[in-house]
Amino acid sequence: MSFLSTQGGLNTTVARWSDAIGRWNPQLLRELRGTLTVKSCVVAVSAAWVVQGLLAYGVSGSGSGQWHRDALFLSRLIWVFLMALSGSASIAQNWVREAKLGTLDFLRLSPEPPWRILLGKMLGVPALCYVAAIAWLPFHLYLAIRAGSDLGIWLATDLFNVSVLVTFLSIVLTLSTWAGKLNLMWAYILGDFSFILWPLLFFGAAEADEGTAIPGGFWWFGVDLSQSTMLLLGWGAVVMMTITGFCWSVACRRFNSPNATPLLRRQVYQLFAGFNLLCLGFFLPISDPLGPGAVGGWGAIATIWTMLQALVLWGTMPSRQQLMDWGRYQHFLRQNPQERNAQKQGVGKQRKRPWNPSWNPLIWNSNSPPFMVPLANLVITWVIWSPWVVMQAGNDNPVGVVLLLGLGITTAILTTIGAITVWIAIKMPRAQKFWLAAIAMASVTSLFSLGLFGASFAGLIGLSAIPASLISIAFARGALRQVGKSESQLMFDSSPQSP
Amino acid sequence: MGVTQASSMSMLGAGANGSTPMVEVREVTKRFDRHIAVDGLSLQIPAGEVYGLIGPNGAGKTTLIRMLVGVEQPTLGDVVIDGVSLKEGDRRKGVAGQIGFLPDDFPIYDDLTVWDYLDYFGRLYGLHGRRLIARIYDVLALVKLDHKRDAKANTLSRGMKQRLSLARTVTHEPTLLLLDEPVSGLDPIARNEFRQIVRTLHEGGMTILISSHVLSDLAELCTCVGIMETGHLIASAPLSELYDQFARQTLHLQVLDRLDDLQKILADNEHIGVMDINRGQRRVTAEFHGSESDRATLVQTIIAAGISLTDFRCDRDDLEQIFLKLGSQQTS
Repeated sequence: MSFLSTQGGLNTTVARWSDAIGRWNPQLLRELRGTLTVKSCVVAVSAAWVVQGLLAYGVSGSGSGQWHRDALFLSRLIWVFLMALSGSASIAQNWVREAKLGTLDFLRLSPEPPWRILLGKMLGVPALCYVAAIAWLPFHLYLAIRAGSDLGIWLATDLFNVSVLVTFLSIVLTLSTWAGKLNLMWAYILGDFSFILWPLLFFGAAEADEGTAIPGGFWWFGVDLSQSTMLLLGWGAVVMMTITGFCWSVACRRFNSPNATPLLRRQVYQLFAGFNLLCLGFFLPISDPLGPGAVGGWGAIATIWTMLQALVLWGTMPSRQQLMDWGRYQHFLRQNPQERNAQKQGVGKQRKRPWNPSWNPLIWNSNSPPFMVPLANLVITWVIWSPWVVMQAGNDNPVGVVLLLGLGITTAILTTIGAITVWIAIKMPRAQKFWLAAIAMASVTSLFSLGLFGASFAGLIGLSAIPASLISIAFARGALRQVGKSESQLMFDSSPQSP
Repeated sequence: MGVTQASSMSMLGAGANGSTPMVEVREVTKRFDRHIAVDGLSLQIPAGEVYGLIGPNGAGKTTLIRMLVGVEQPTLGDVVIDGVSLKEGDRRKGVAGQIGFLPDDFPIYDDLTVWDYLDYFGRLYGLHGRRLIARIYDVLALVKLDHKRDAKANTLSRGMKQRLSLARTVTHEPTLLLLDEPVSGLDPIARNEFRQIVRTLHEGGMTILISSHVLSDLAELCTCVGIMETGHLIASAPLSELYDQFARQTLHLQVLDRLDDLQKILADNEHIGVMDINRGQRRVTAEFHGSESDRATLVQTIIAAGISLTDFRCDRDDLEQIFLKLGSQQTS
């Protein structure tokens, strides 16, 4: 039995503390009760001390001042890495277990808000890791003092590491919300995807000891962040917290509505706005758009941008059932023009919409086919980069402008894929996965093949993606209309109690 | 009987006094791709009833219950719990505290003790401090698990786990209890214990909906019954009404003498159907289509005629036979 039980009443200090934790977050108390037994705590603390002993022994050969600096550096790396590894594993495993057990529905049905349940899980499930970290802290502080570190920098660096860790665990938690349909191994793989954040851990870990000697500086919106360690760490922490916030909004939606699309349209547009603003900061003000760093940066941004577009296209793709419901609802609106007009005028809503074109639901409604999502993301990108384009007006070789236009072709290709996916989902439900895999492979292969013929030819062929996207959208919309009509007939004909 | 009859019957037991029904299902359809699990179903359950939902596997009982809880969203139609529509996502959380839900597989956290398990769910529903502790003692006494409060959940028997799950669903004192196949896989003793607990909860004023295959359990517990088949509610009515309308009654009479007089009285009675006469044993077996008072009148008539009855019995179709009869009518 956990020592946090309140079974004997609220007479002891521990029972009162348990009750206080439970009042604030019942999920946290539940996880702590499952995790924190006397035996498990002893094991965690002992493990932390053993690793500390090994660390102290391992660097004992260095000179006295250097010894402590090396030990501090390693200490920071080890605790963050161990926390990240064990924390992510425990969160993924816990979620999969709950999904398999079928207890997640109980949590969803409770009046507790999702964020509080998820927070309880993130704080409570890896509780033993936190216990080990607390056991580590005195040794860590001792090393910092003996190494002569500035305690302000020491604290800021560790707080930055904590923010990276929180982001890391938030990503794992968000990915774990898909674990109900996957197996444990797959959840681990998804968790490991977060390893892309690990270089940042090095960055944070190295800061206190190596200073901020970044060659050429670290410029963002004209400010060299490397001038001050605190500024750089603060900036990093804000970026991490923004990513964390996005992860939490996705995780809460996934938790609340597991059958809905993974991403809301609003979340997608926020993601693209945030990503573009972050990137724009590195290019404003720009001195040499064709410098070696800039060209590499352009390539990286374009690649990540395309990957994000593909990701959000998947994340906003409704299920076959949702598409059929959408088609049926659109059919209903076509049959009932009054209803359509009432919707346009915002009847029944608290606030009337001043402008509500018919394609508005295609941009905002999560159940609509995501034809407009890549285009909306492209528009967001263009709007955010427009000041930079204006500044490039006099440049002889506006590579960035050409690249921004090139993103339009990528958008057209992705829109085509999205429209074909919708068409396949409606028309070929049985072989859906096969055809989608075939389309993905054909798209990747054709993109690589185009690259072999040079940029001009690729660009020319790429332009054909624009009419292709329009044609495929027309086909997909036709299929939606057809399915909407037949679904309405099927639904109402088979339902004798319906009017 | 047809669907029209069923849909009109589904309103019989509901809202008779004009008050808001505890559960109102309005023309609900649930589709899973090409499969229609629930098809245009309407139903009302007044507060304080024990409503039994019966039907074969795949009839849509579990889907309907999951829609009542809010785990599944209807494709069409609406579910209203105590006047609150579950369509409105924000308000759904508002009624969450009023509902207790026990799924058929009653999953339990094995790493917690019985006490901690109930403590956790009580807190999820806003109970704290001494009130929570008192409530846990109450529900443990209700399900007769007080002696097991220190035990880890994985050490309990299936029947105990099931009772613990039931305790979990009522810890926050819901006004509506939804039990999906609660007695499946339990032995007769555990089933009997479970029935006792449900009766106690009903006496406390809780509205209860139970789906079950064990129809004899439902017959003992329920005040109203709904019969589902292929996503439709083919009948829904108070249990007594269902018996009156659909239960076939067979009278068994034996006389000391004057068998012909008895035969004449029976033939003249408007509620008597086909008769089978065994002259050797002076016994008559007859179909009867009347109410209890009609039966009493018949007995009085026989006695008044001076006929010496040595045996008078009335066999009535049980719930299972009614269910089979209605099911076969619906299929045909």
